Amino acid sequence: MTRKWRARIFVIPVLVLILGITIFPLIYSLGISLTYYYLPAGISPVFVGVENYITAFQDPEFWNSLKITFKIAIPALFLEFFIGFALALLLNGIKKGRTVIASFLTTPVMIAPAAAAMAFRLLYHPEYGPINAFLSVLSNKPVKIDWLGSPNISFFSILLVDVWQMTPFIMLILLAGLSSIPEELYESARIDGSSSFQIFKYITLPLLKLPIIVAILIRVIDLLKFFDLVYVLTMGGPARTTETITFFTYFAGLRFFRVGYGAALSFILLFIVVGLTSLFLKVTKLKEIA
Amino acid sequence: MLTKNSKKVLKYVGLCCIVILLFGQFVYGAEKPQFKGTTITVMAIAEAYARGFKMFEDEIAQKYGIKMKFDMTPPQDAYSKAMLQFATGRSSWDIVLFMPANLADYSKHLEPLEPLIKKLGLNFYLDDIMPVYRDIYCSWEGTLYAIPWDGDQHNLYYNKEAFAEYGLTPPTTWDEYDKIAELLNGKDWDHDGKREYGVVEAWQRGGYAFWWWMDRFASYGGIYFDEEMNPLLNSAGGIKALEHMVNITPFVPPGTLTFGYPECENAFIKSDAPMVVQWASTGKSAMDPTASLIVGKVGVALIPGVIIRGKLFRRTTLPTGWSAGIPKYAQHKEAAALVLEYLSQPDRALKICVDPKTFVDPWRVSSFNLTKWLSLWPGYESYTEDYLKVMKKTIELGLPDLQIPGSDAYVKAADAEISAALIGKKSPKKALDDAVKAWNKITDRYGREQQKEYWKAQYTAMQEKEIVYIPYEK
Amino acid sequence: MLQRRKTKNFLTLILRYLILIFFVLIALFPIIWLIETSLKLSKQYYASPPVWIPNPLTFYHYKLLFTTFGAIPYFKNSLIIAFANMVLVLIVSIPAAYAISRYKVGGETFSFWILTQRMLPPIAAVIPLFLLYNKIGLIDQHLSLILSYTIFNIPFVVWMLISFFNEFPIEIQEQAMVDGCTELQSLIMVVLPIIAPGLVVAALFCFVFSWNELMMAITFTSTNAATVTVLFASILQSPTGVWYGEASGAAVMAIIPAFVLTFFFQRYIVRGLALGGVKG
Repeated sequence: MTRKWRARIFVIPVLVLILGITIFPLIYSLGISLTYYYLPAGISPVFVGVENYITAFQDPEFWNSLKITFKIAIPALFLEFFIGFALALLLNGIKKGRTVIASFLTTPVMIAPAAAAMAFRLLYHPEYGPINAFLSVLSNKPVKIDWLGSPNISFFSILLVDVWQMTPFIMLILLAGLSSIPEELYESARIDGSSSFQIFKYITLPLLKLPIIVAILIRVIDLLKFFDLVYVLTMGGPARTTETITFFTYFAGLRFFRVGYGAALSFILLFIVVGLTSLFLKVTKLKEIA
Repeated sequence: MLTKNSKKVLKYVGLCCIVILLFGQFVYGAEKPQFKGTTITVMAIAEAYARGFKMFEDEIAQKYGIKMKFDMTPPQDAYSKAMLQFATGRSSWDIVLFMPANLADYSKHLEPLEPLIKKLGLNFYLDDIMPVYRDIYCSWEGTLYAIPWDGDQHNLYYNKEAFAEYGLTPPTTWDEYDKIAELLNGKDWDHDGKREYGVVEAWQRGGYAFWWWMDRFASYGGIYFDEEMNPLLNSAGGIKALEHMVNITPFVPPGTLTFGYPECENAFIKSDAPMVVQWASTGKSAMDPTASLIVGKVGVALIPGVIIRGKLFRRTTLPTGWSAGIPKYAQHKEAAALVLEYLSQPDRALKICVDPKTFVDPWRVSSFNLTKWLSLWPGYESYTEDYLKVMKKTIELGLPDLQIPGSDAYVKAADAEISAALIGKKSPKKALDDAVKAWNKITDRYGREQQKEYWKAQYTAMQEKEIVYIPYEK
Repeated sequence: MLQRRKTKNFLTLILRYLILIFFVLIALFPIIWLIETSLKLSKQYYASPPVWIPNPLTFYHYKLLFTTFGAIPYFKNSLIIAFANMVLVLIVSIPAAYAISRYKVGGETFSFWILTQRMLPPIAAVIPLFLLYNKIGLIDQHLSLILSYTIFNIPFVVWMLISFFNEFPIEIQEQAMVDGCTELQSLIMVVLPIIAPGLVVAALFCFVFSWNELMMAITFTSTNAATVTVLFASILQSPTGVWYGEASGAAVMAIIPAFVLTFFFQRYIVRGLALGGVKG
């Protein structure tokens, strides 16, 4: 037995787990998505072909949830990226206290999204929350913004929590990229008389390409899975203004027991994620860079 | 003065009593099996419900050797969790608290109680249960599947001081209700230096907006479907009901669209709103000095009604409520039945209701005995009296929740449309038209013929209690 | 001229610090507020304007959390599940990552395929897993979550370990093998101890991801195996009362592992978060 053959045995446990816990359930789910399956009635799934998929595309609530997912994801991604980038640049320019400040800044990243949501439920409270109190002091008149209850603001309030939590994540990745750029490159550019903007454009940005792509990619994938914050903060309300696709799917499949429909929706989401990711990878040619 | 003879008789009777008692005890002890070392799991929803079990935990452990474990899955998840297990013939729980709205689905998986009662010689004092709870919230097609745990209902609570200052009496019609909300909004009626709101309701996603709309729709004579299974939501009364809700949107505190039961109650007892329609447990919280700023200032009344053909018509609602059943697949069915019997004895059922920390409302006829309640709020006897009177009347007038399969889906679909009207995205008529469409879709999905049968079963039970549709005209 | 430039540099530096400190405050404030709320009497969190510093401090909510709400089993479950999952993931990932790094097993496609597992929206797995677990009676068993959490933890750990193994100087291991170790022995005795700090961080990340997870936990468990996130989601949605103090307390307890990780392993976090995909 060659070493390489022995090495193949090493990957078997991982393979078995992935096949058992991910791939097999997905295939099973694909089967379920082609059936009508109402659990409480205690009847077996009835094959209905692609009906569930057709229903989804005709379902205004599905389109609504898709719209809301992007309505939350796009601004969140922009804010996280630009603030995170700015913070990384700021941090990169200081030496003393860099680790400490970075530590403090990254505290939100690792905490449970549900716990973050809990914290913001307190902050957003229209009567007793410190945010409105702070705004009242600033504007010198009572401010009673209904952060989670007014249909035009609630989606934004939710995405702000994500921005609070995940901006430092982008910052950290970009900071790692920045600190790996050799100082000599900057030195020689300065000696050549390049302006700060030119240095940023021609040295920093190109060298940061990989971390930028990785950071954005991970965030895009995670933002499409958006669930915990909605679950703790608004339950999708008011009306359906914060009902993301994951949330909608969860309710269809596991609360209203349209199990087949839920499975179909989850596959549509899967295709969206895979589609967007491959598109993204193609455009940015990530594989070649890495 | 007793004669010698009668003294003899008395002695004899006394002796008999002692013998019967002793012997009875013996027989009783022999008949009820012991369950040493058995632990039953109770789907208890929330601490305030589990508390009723916990109050007697030690006694039960001593008497039967049964221990208890509690599952606090919140109500939004309780139904789906139970159904998913039941569907494969499993149950982690020996007792489940469930919303009677899901009774049609639950009934297929619950143990009928009559055989258990016969087998174990139990006595649940069934005649002492308020009929609507016994016959509609615990029985399906005539079979008893559960025992009430919490007799829920909506009442109107108001801040007496604020009302007195503006010379108001509790509203008897929804028109008056709207006017009072408008009048008191933006006034500092509790004199704390800040302007308050006119009224508060709970319109959180997931059923609340629907329940508060039902308060009005019921008053307009509305019910869920006609006999042909056509939804009645967008009838004239339904639209009126939603218009009432839209009317008060300027007068409710910010956040009302996210309020559930606790937040809504909180706005009332912290004196941010002078009037609220709420479950009866708010009547307890408002008198709890550790939480409430309005102890002693609370008034209680029936929810408003509607003038129909010149006469004041009142129909209240009994939203949610909790019943306790034993799953067919439970491991310790007999132990569970004994525990339920023990807890639902009239004196204990009353004790659980009177405890200020449980959110359990009375469901036994005998629980409305005023003298037993007077110790709860010494010094506020007239409030206690009103509280009991209003609760009892509400139960008598009450419209039960929709109970057919998929009731959750119906409620949530209508709820989303109602909130769409509340945030001004749709007109009341359009919202309710859409709700009707959604309901028809759900009916078709579950099978129209089958749903019709289920609805017929529920409507028949309702008709026996004279709860029928009354079309609204001015 | 030089002097002026120095002053200008100094001022920009000050400005940098000020801006950064401002953001530090924003990052910390919600967490501080959460902790404060858990230590406030309920009168003080229902106060308008808000009470900024709790007075008196009270541990009442924590007491209630551990007595009435019976929080201990939830913590125990979270610990058992997160720890068992971590061990399981490490046991299967170390050999796999090693084989991929040293022998390019399956080529780039295979390693990339493992990474793509992380893209899977959890809901797509939750629905079928629920039905399957239900069939084989794993619902509300610790094993259901221990297995499910491998879905996102395996790709993460494998990728992180691959980068560690890639950086590991192969000569050291070869020397050990010349000295008479088998390959497996050299992996366990030589390679793993040297990359131990990285392993610890990978393990801790695993632990925290499992600890933080909500959707699967609320779906697959109810009493027996319910975790901390389930506890505070259920306190928060309790139909009968606003238990902000207790829910905040539970949330505070739930963020402790994350805190430990951030503060004591700051150096490794960057690599961890970048999924081992960014080669510095």
